[in-house]
Amino acid sequence: MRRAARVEAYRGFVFVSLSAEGPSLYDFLGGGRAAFDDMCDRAPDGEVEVVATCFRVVQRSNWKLFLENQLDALHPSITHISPAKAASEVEREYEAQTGVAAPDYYKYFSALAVPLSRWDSLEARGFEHGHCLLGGYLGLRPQDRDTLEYEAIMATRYGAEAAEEILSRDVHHMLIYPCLSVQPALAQLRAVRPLGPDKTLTELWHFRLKGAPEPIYRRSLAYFNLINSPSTMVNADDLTNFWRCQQGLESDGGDWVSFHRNAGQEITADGVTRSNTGLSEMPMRHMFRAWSIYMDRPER
Amino acid sequence: MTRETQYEVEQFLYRQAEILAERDWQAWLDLFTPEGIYWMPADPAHTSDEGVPSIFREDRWLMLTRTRRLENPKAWSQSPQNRTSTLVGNVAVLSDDGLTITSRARFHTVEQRMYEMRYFAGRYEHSLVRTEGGLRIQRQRVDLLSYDAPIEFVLQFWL
Repeated sequence: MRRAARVEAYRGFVFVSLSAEGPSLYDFLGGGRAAFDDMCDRAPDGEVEVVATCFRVVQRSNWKLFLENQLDALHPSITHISPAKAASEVEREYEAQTGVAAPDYYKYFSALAVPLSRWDSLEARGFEHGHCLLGGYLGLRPQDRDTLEYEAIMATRYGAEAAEEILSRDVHHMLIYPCLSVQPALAQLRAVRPLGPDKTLTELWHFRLKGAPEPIYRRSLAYFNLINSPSTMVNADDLTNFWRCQQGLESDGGDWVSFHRNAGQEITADGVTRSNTGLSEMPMRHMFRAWSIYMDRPER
Repeated sequence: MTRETQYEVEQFLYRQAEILAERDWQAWLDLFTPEGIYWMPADPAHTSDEGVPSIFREDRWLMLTRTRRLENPKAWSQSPQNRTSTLVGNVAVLSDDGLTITSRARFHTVEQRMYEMRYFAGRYEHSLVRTEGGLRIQRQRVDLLSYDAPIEFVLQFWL
């Protein structure tokens, strides 16, 4: 193993760099710091604790497919229609049979099939070094007793105004390009490890918000078990579609892949690029721009 | 423990394996009590499924969700469908209080996914209750031999 030239941490997340030169971790993360700020700020104690179980999933596709998929809002209602539809049906049957609403975690599936207009209304943002995010769609601030208790603790710890600012942040995924996908509101993190041009390992982790009541952790746990575990009904279809994309890319079908959706409609100001719709392929273009710089190709 | 109980449990486990091989999802759901749980721990050291990560932790409602998904023609990864063939052996009845039976067994499963085969193995622990309709699963624990290994293409349904 190569000795790491530099080791730095941000909000308790430890990073290593194999290069003695380059930006500091703080500068490298830049706007991407929000991934860790958002997750840690949601903890009343301002810190998170990793849960020791790591799920490891291998994808038979290039690592870029995974990252592009994370911020692609056009695919969920198509790729994930089968668990979304099944969960919406079961939600209704559950309530009809038991007289109480189905557990909240059914939303993790059923919300994938919200109309395209909902995805359209989201915003994607790109930061320096290829980091980018997609706004949230799950509506993770229900007004049940557990949430209200947690929000009261947050208000006590941070003050009402600061707590409100933290709790109203709504980020679905933040990508730390090219190696991490973070879902701060659900305290999930996926590390992307290329094993070869057509093989990628993802290491899936989740976290406890220190000082938050147990039911808040249980939401992260349910997401980890249902969406990120090796029995996932959601990523099951992503993984197969990635493999199919990989097959297509390896064929003689064509040399170019179009990333034109809503091209030229994003606005860049103060180092942040904002899409005009959640359905824009701005994040893909943004990541490739960073990649071309890493590959010493002129930016275009 | 009587030979009759041993025979009854073996027959039940063999039937469960056949139901999986046949992808007879209604029959699968009917194997469980209304409160029945299928649990595949993420770690063999876990003694309870409560509040810990699991590979599978499904009640009948989640199992129903899974079966509905599997039968949707738009479940893209199910074209062609995954098929499994499971052998159950080393069946041991651990206790029988007249109402509830606990048993342990070993399983070997071959899964066909597209044109590839892969292998799973591990241990079953069943908590079975006697009902008017015969034995039903109150709880099934499945300890996967490869619980901590990376997995390709994930598990589409139960082992």
